[in-house]
Amino acid sequence: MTETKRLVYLGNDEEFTDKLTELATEYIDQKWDLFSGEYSQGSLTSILADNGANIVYIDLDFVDSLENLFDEIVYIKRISQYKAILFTAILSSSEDTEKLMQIYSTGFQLSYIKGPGATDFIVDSLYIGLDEKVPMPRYAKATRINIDLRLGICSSLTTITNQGFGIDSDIERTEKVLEVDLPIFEDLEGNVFKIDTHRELSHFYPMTENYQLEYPFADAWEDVTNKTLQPETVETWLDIYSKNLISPPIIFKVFTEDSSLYHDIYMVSAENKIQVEICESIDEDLLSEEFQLKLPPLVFFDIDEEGNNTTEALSRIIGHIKLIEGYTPIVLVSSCPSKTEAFRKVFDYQTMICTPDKITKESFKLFTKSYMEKNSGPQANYYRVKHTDPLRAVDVLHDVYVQSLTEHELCFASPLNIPFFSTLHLTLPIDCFVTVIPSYYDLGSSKKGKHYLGLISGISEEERMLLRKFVNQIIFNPLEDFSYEEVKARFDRIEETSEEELKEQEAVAEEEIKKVENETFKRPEIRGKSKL
Amino acid sequence: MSKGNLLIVDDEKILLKRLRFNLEDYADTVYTAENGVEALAVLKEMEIHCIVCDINMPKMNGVEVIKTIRAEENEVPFIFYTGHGSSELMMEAAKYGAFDFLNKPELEGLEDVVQRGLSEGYARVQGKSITDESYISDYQKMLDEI
Repeated sequence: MTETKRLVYLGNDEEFTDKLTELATEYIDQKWDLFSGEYSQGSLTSILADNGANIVYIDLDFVDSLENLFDEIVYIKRISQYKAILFTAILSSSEDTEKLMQIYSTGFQLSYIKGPGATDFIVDSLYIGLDEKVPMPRYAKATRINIDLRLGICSSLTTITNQGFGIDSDIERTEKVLEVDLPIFEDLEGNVFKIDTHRELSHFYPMTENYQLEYPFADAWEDVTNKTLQPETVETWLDIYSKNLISPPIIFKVFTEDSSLYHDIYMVSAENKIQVEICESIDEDLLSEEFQLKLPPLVFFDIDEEGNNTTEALSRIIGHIKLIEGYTPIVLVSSCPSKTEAFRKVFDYQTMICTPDKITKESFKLFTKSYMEKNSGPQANYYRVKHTDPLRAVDVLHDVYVQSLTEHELCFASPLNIPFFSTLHLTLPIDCFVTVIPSYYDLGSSKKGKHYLGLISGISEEERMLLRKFVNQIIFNPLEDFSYEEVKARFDRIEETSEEELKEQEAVAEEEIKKVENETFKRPEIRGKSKL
Repeated sequence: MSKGNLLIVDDEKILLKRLRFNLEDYADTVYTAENGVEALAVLKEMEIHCIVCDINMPKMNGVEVIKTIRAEENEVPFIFYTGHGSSELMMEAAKYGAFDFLNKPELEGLEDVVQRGLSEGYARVQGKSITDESYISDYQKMLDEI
């Protein structure tokens, strides 16, 4: 039986839902339905628990607390069975770049600034989120861009200490440094930070890598330059800014495949201000690193010999725990066939409690509440940044080779492995965001690295018009020295272009569009790392 | 007050005799079996409230015994005693619901564990609720200690 595809819209814009319904009816081949509602904390996990979702559209104008929304999305995106859900944001304005950066570094993959561009946005979402055959928008393409351009990989600042900071990102680097546009120390011009540790997992956000980076302290005998810092500078900053930072959250790990509990577990975690990570399966490669990084004081394990949470799996988890010096979390084993004493001896691990009962909302609440009553939190050896802190969303900088551009998409090459559906922040020619997608046409190859196609979003209709004019101009009058400076200069001059010239350029662009065949495209099979 | 019936399963006759002697005051009747097959035969005939079983026996080991008994929907408490190198067998046995494991040859604490096992097994057969919420107080104690 074909499963029903589910679209979820949280907001209050009938015009949008009408458009969504119209396009979904036209392009979704299978049975589908649309759930409409409003967002409140816990509503997302509740909706997903009831009927699931393939694409979620959230109108942020109707969200009271972005902090709560981001918190819930981070929780959801860490759950394997929800990983493939496409989250999209709808906003009134693109002026707040910080907000857009936060959106893209929290688990959203597309955004739409309200205006006439709803069709493209919805079609893009169906291509990404539903794997449907859709007519990707056809626009004039400037093919001879061929410049090296610096862009940002949307990442999240996670932890801050007086020695360095942590970020979650999708970028996998093989060098020993990372370039991060860190908005903390005004006098620090350099962006290059030495990597202290790198893990192929994220600390808090739904990303693929975590980096712990060191501040570039000047050596004791050196003068401080614009590329180095003094420890006192960091201390002073922390003293002043720490009131905006938060203590590291207590993290509980819950090994269960019972999705009916996910909403209740989330509500308990939100109420107690803890972070709960649901683990539906055991990733052996990452297990040890996960525990070393997060040191959860409570580990819930609901035995299911028919699923992933077998007694052998528990044995492996405890094996990893025992390797970490000084770390003895309480392991709560539910649906346990044996008595506590028996299991303690089987695993040679004393800090374990077993119950034959299945984990329930009530038992989880009880264990959590009891723990919180006796614990004020972990030793704060780092600060954490709130989801909506202006510092939180950062760009990890990377140079790519831009080959072609339309007002809808960007084609570029990079030697890095960029996961599909990760998001990039471009500031030239305009401030926009690019979602890397499996291409629906052959991108060719070059010596500059692997080719990628990205969909542009997070721009208003006015910005789109500017981009269109820029593309038309490049088609009409190709670049000469293929440099950042030329591109910037050309873009800055757009407003000076006369009406007559604009019309001439548009006519040429129209001819280019006609050359592109009018067909529908289905997202190809994903080969390589993917965030969905 | 009835204490319940105990079954001891071990292929070593000397150990069987010793355990019977040590435990006969804690049960109404102590039955013995020299192997798994005999144990199953006893269970068919007698009402047993707790089983003490060597985990490592030839032909039919303790895991196979508990597995067979559980397949007949008999939840009688099982106390295993184990020698060195039995960790895999212990894990297998635990999947079917072990009450406790004790180390050979000392078998320290056996009497106490048997008493508890008999108490639970007898209550179960009587149809009494054996819901054990001691895990909640154990958890609270653990939190106090951390």
